[in-house]
Order: sequence, then C-alpha cells, then structure tokens
Amino acid sequence: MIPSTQGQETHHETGNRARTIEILVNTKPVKVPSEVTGAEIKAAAKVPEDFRLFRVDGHQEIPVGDDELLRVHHREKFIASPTLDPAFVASSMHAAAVETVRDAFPGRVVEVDEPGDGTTLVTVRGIEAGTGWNVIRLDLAVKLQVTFPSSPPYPFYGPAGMARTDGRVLSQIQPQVPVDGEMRTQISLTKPYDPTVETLGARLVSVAAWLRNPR
Amino acid sequence: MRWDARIAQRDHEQLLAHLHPGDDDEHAAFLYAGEMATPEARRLLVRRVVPVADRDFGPSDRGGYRQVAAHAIAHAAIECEPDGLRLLWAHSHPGAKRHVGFSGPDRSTHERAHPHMIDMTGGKPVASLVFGTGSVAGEVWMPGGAVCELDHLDVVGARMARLTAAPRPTGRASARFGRQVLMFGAAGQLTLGAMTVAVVGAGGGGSLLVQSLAHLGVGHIVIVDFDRVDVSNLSRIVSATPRDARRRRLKIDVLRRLVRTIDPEIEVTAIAGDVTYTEDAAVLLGCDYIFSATDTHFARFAVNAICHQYLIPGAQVGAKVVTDEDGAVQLAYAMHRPIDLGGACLECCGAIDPDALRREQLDEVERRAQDYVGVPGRDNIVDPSVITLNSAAVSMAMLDFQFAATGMFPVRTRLGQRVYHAPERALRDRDARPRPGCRWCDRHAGGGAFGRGDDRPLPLRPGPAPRPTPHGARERLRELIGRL
Repeated sequence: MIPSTQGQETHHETGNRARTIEILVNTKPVKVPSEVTGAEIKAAAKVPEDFRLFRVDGHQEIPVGDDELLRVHHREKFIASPTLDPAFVASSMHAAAVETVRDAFPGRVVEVDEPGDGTTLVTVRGIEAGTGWNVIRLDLAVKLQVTFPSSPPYPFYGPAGMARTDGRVLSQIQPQVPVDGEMRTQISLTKPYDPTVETLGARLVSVAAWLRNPR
Repeated sequence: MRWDARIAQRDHEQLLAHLHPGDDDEHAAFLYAGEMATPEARRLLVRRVVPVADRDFGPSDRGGYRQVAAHAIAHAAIECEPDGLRLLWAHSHPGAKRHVGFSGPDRSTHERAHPHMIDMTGGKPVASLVFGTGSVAGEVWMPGGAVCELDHLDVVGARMARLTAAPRPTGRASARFGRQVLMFGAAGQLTLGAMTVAVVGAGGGGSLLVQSLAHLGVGHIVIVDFDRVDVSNLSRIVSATPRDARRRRLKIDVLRRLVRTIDPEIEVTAIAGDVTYTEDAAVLLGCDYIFSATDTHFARFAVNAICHQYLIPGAQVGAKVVTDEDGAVQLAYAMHRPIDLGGACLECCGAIDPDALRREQLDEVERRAQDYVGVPGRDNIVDPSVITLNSAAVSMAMLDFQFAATGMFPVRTRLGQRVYHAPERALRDRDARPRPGCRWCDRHAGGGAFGRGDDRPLPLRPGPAPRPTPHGARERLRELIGRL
C-alpha cells in the first residue's frame, strides 16, 4: 500500500512505474514516474539531497520522507527547501559564554544543560555564599535564551529555600520559583548587558559578589 | 550545480570604486564569502571586500598582463581559513561595460592557482570574478576539480541589480502594469515579477504590505503568521470580513484570498507558523526581500538575524500610539526601519528591546515569577492601533522597496529610519549607526554572522512552531485528510 497524494490509498503495482507524470517542484516542471519516492523527486528536480521535501495539499505542506513512496498526479505541487540544522542548540555564542564562566571560576565545576528548546542552563557549583545566608556554599545558575547575548542573562538562580539568617529581607530574592520542573531561589539582579564590554563569567562574578555583600 | 553570488550594495560600490577608478588600468580585490544552499543553486555571500594594493598586483611573469602577488594570496587565505570562509578574487577589465569575460591568460591563472587556493582555505570552493562596469563573469572551482560558471551576482540594498556576463533577453510586462512600466520600465516590472518577497506578520501592517505587493506585481509572496482573525482586527486587516472573524479564519488564509482576487497568477506561500522557530524561518531564506510587520521582539530578532546572515534586504514597519493615564494620546507615530545591509541593524536601531526579547521566551510560570519581583511585563496591555498609522508606515516602506528593487535610487543612497509623527505632521529621519562589535551588522566583529549563510546556525528555537488548533469543520476535515 502506498499513500496516494489525492487522499486515497491504492494498491501498489511494482510494474506500473513506467508512466511519466509532470509535477511541479518549487514551481519548476519535473518529469517523474507516477509512483515515486521522495528521494527520486529530489533527484529529478536536481535539489540537494539534504533538502526537505513537502507535498502541497490545499493550504498545508506535508513532509515527504526520502524513502516514502508516493503516487503523484499531473502538475501536483511540491516544495523542496533547505533544512536548518536542529542540532544547533550548543550555539557558538552559548559555548563561548560558557568558556568565559570557566575562566572566571577556575577550580569550580561548571555544568551545562541543554534541554533541547534552544536554551542553555549554566550552573557554577560550590560558590561561597558569604555570611548571613542559611547555606555556606551554593550552586549559582543562569538560563541563557536562544537569543543571548541580544537578550541579557537574567535572572539568576540559587538552591531552593535559600534565605537570610540575619533577618534582612531582600527584595531581589524570591525563594521558591519553579524552573523547568525544579524549585529554585530566584535572584533578580538586572542591568543592561553589553557583550562587547562584559562577559557572562564577569556577570556571574558580580552576582556572587552581591550575594556576599547584598545591597 | 548552478552557482550565484550576492553582495551588499555598499560593498559593491566600494569594490567598483577600487576596480574601476577611471585610470583605464586593471585592479584586483579579494572577497571573503559565506555560502548557502537555495532550492535552485549554491550561493556565495560576500562578507568582506579587501582591495589588493596596486603594488601587490604587478606585471605578470607568466604571459598575462598583471598577477596578484603570492604573499597577498597567502595572507587572504590565512584570513579566510580559520573562519571557514570562501576566498574569491576579483579583477577588472577596464574597457568592459555590459559584456565581460575571462581572457586566455586569466583561465591559465585559474588552472595554476585555484587548486592551491582550495588547499590553503581548508578545502573550500574558491572563485574568480572579472568585472566590467556593469557586468561580471565568474568561475567557481570545487575541491574535486569541477568548475562551474557563476550564473549571476545580485547586488542587494538600496539599489538592487543583477549583474551577468552579458545582457540577457527580457520579456514584455503584462498590460495590467502598463502605467507602472511608464515609471519602472519593462525591465523593472519584470524584476518585480521575478521576486520572492516575504511578509512576517499578517495584521494591519502586514495586510497592507501584501495588498501593495500584489498590486505592484511581485511574482511570489510569502506570508507567515499563526494568528486568527478576531473581531477587533476588522478595523485594520485589509479584506477581512465579519464572517472571517466569526469563523476565526487564519489571517494567512484571508491574505491568500486577497492576493488571489487582485492577481490569481501571483504565487502565494502562506505558513501558519512562527519565524522564531528554525523550520518555519527556513521559508525566508530563499526570499529576495523580507518585511517584518510584527509586534514581537523575537520575530523582529529573527528577521534581523536572517537578513544579515543571508544578505537579504528588508524592512520593519510599525505604528505606535502612546497614551497617558487618562487615555489622552501622547504620541502617535508610524515607523519605517529599513534593513540596509552594511548600515545599522534592527538591534543597533533600538527596534529590539533586549528585556522584552528575553521575556517573550519565558513560559507562563517563569514570567509570573519574574514579574513578582521585577517590573511587571506588558503582556496583557492592549495598545491602541489604527489602520491610518499602519498605512503611513507601509507607504514609506513600499516606496523604498519599489525604488530599491527597480534600481531607481541614485548611487550611494543610504536608507535610514524614518518616523512620521502624526499629531505634529512631521516626517523625521532617525539616525542610527552600527554598534562596534554588533554580531549582525559589524562584519569585522569576531564571530559575527554577517554573510555567513549556512555556515552558522540561526539563533532560533528548534523545530517548527506548534500549529494552530483546527477551528471549524472545514479545517478539522482538512487536518484529518492530511493525517490520512
């Protein structure tokens, strides 16, 4: 059985592929057998192998796999377009920023988590919290959006339940905030970020310094 | 495989000034380029023009007229290789105007030099170009030894042009454009007919843009928007009807219908998607011009990134009404921000608010948590909006597009931001310069994306945007058929 491009299923007869049909790939007429795979359409249209092929159905574009066998009809429309690399998450901008964090915190473990949505969670383990906190050391984290550094690194996160022991109330601290399904303490220190004069490592150093001497 | 190339107008002007200074002698330059795949061709994207000093382009000792010194080639290759750029070298034929081609000694030089240049640049293709004052011919050499002729060089920016080795025959424009042809000429009209132009955002501004593009005779219009028509849109979306609002039709479907009623021969690609996702953004990469008519900073960011990385000119249009606490109008303006490659980008213009950009990527929980301690966002605030302001912005943008696409702007035209303040009846230019180190418009910035094409991933969300839930029996049936 092969999916018909006219919304019906028909029996596939392997000997019946000789009939030639004219289809349109990116508006260009291309001649193919009436039963044809996605890869064969791309080859006939002379588009690169790594392009994605879509069958145009009304207002929808339906992806066609390379090995998918289709029964096509006369002047049926297809789109072949370049594929953007989905494995881009560890973008060079994020990777370069993480390096500046490693440089800024020599000897500390810097962990990088890429949940797959284009963001990168950077965590520096075991930073000294300073006096006045109910923790001695903390893991300081920041989530980089896919648009970083055009969007600033903000907010920062410490461990859930982090609190002052000296009775001071800091408006920048929000102790129970869910982030990607995990509770954390949000540290809301914001100021403009200019990557030409400041690095992510430097920004985290200043956040750590603020924690030791909150104002 | 077909090859073509694209260069920003400012770079082309710099290149021509160096190659054809008016001394009737030959001159040379290197071009450093990124690369991309289009459905029809491989495309070289010129990122930098590096003139070769005349002392490094001396008399040839191999039978030709002049040759580039070996140390100059080595220096250029050393600059290209670490960045993964392709090395192109260009020289001029002073007498050539509308026709140009390589000489026999030129081709001998290619055979000698190109294999070494490929090795020096890490196995990337290299190309040679020869320029007349209004023409260019080129050869692209592949690592395996294959050689392809360059089909054309597109100059993009305020004065767009397609340069080829010789003039190509042109057809006749349709009679429906007779009055326009009197202004653009038949060649200008045919250029518009061959263009693919994208409109991101199908609201008030977007619908006016689509309508104008269809009337102008642009051959292929790409529309991207995931939203549906709401009754409050009826005052602004051109051609939307109360029935569209009742049926909650997709805005792209309304605009597709609009184009069809104006000219059924125009091809329309309408995507119910979001250009902040890589798969939806891919539709923009093959466009010749991109209009951004969206309120979201992330979509503007995406358009800005694509335009600079893939050398696609474009513009952002918008209108803004600011009221005070009593609802009195403080400001009402229409804004047109051209993306004039080599000038200030949308980030440098201030069109993208960094914190709004960040907030638009948060989920609801994160946004609420951050609003609790920070300055609350404006997510639920509905701004005033009116079609007349949209029209003013679109008129400015469309005039620039039309003059740029048909090559009617004078040489060295620079397109800057323009604001029309309605209450003052004042039209003003807003000055903006590229910020040093900007990753989009400063091509000297380390790691910058200008002209890098497919060499760099776009900083967008992976995958396609979630598709709108089908609404109404017709859409549900269409989806069901699609699944089958």
